[in-house]
Amino acid sequence: MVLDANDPQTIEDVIEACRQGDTDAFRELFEAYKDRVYSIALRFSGNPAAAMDIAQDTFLKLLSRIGDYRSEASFDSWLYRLVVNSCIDDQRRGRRMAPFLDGLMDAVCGPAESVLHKLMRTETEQRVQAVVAKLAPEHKIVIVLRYTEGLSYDEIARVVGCSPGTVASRLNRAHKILERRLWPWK
Amino acid sequence: MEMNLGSNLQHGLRGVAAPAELWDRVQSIRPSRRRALGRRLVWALAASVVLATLALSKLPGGRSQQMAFHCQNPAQLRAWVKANTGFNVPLRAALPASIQLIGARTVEGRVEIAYRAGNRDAMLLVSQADPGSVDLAHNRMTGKSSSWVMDGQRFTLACNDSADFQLACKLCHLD
Repeated sequence: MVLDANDPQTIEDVIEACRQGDTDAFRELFEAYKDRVYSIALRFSGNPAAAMDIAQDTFLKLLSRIGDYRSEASFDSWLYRLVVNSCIDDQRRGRRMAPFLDGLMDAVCGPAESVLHKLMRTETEQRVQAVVAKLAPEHKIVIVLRYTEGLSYDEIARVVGCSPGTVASRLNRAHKILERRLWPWK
Repeated sequence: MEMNLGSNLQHGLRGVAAPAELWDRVQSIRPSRRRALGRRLVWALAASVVLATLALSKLPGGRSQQMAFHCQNPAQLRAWVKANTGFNVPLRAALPASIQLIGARTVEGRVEIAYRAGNRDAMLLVSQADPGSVDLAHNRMTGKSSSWVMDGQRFTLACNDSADFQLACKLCHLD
């Protein structure tokens, strides 16, 4: 069974089953949210190994704290908060941010006619990821939630625990920093 | 590089699929699952089976009911252990970032405290020491598990690798 994350009643049923210790229900939640959780972790940390640790930590927190979730709040927002907290915890632990080498290796190993194009695209992506990785955590998380998850200002505000105005301000500030670092000649 | 910040960010930060092994990693250390813990730490339990058997026979009335408590807070976990087993486990009030508590469970008269030391699993088992046992120093540890007695309680620390002991000790000891 594939969990429909857009159906609140289905989500509530699965969460309740999860609270009762239903392993299948936890697996459904995991399958429904694993890509989102991993993507945020990867884009925040810039490091696949760190992203795995963060995602693992997030799902363990989900499992141990599912009893704390209250249905009047959005489950997505609650889960995003767990991911964000795991990202911040990971950064506090001082993990080294490794550059993405996997994408570059994939490009070099690809078909000859597309190598140059792939390399240019990979270089662009890596540069974007590198400058995002250097942002302060409060700027980085709003950028990741906005561009990886496509959340609205209001949704980001609920996840991060601040006002939509603060989100707008942080995004604006982050955009300026990113532009300056990506295109210093502009 | 195209100078369009929004599209570059959307492309550079796009979502990706989680690796298939993520489920295995989550599943492997889910603290509430006896099967998962047992698989990863079967050697640790084997090493302590004699101690556990002894402890069982010494506890008044024995405790056959199993309880589990998932908690990352050392003070709360210590209080839970104390309330449910009577054991006093001197966990540090504030754990270093390298130590992450997973939880504890009582198993037939002993308590098992599962945690992560760095990137590896570790477990501290506490049971009642034999009457008359004398405290044993535990500043030198070898192998994958080590046992000592302190204040009438027998402690067994199990790690995946002997090299992890120094880190695993930070559950209770300062650096």
